[in-house]
Amino acid sequence: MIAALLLIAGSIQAVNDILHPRVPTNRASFVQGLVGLDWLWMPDGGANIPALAGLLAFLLLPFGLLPAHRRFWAGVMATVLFAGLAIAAAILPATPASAFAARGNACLIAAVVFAWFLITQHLPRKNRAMPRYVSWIAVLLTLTVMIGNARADLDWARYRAALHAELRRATGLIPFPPKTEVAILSRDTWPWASPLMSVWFAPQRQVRSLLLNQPGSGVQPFDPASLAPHLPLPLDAALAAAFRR
Amino acid sequence: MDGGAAFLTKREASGPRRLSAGAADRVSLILIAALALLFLTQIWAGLALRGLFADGAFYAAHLWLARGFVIIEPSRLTAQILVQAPVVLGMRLGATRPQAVALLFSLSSTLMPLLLTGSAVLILPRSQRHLALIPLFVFLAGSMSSAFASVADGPFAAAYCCLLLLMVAVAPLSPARLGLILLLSIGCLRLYESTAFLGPLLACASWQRARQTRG
Repeated sequence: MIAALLLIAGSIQAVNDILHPRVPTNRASFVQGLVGLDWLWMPDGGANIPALAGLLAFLLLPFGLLPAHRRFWAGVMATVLFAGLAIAAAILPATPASAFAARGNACLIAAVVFAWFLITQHLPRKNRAMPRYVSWIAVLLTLTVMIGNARADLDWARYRAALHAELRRATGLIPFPPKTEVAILSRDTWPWASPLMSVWFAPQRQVRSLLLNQPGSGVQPFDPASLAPHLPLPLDAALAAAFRR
Repeated sequence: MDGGAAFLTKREASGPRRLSAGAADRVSLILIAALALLFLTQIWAGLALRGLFADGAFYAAHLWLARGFVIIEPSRLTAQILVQAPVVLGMRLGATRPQAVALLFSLSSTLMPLLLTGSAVLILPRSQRHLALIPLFVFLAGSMSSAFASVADGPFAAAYCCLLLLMVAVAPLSPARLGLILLLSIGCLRLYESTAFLGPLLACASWQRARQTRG
């Protein structure tokens, strides 16, 4: 009962935090990303395959209530659909911007699952097979998101390699997009993070150059122009100088 | 067509159309193997500093500069403290170079939701292991869709709430576990904005369990 009271107090506090956010634009971008389905698809990024796989899994779960022979074919259909998504996850590039827009998905899905659990936990379980069908869907979902995650790891490695190549090519400030623009550098760069990434991923941990943000990318954590005259600097000295107040 | 047995009821599987007695176990084993592979890709992400994507680079820089916790979002105090705790511990143990701090932060933010999900599964009694699908689905369908941006606190908060739900509603109660439930509930006071709708559901589960226990 004490736990229940604490949880209610936490909920009230959270409502207050939503109504009075630290950065109101963050709340607006979260809502826009959610309602505009940015978490699923972005025009310049493509489809967020792991999110699509999660959605498919939820759509397929009710088929577990079918009679056994139909459930078998539902399982076959699920396998085929997930196989298609797994292939797409391997072929299509990962979508970092959509992934960021999906940051609230886990809590929203948790709410649906928790509500379902609370409603059904005291009902008699007529169909013992449901957990096995659900387990099979979980297997398919795991394999699909695993492939998508491996693809994301590869894309991240490519992004780092492309950033390294740019930073080696020049010294000082490099305008964005760089002259030898590679697609992945545009797609996987966070709008305000390029100068900071240039510090973190400086070749041989010596900061000689900084890739600038895209024009109009908004506030940035530090001003690259004020750091540039002090370059080259070792990574730790560059970090300290960047955030010196 | 052995895999088809995974979709049959126990009665059907033991009847004339019995396809395979161990089908359910095999599905569970495949699921564990697939999850192990997923865990490896998450470790890969952590080691490759994918956790620095988006705000991650900013958090890692400030953790190194502050040599301690960096609470930028007070409304997510619990989530930020728990994700940063391994980094701060690492710094206290001597991992003070910026690359080491970035690596610890990347690993922690990438792996923490998965580790909490694993804990939620492990606290379940054997007879209730099928409920492991609750935290698993939240993790697979929700958290993995934002895995590239592991700096986001949402997946952590969801996994935290899954652990609390299963402790409150299902796991056997002992004085130590009641203490842990209380501690986790205190953490919900400033966990994440989504506590606005997850909190009442967890409170409802607590109330149901309290009634059941008293009854």
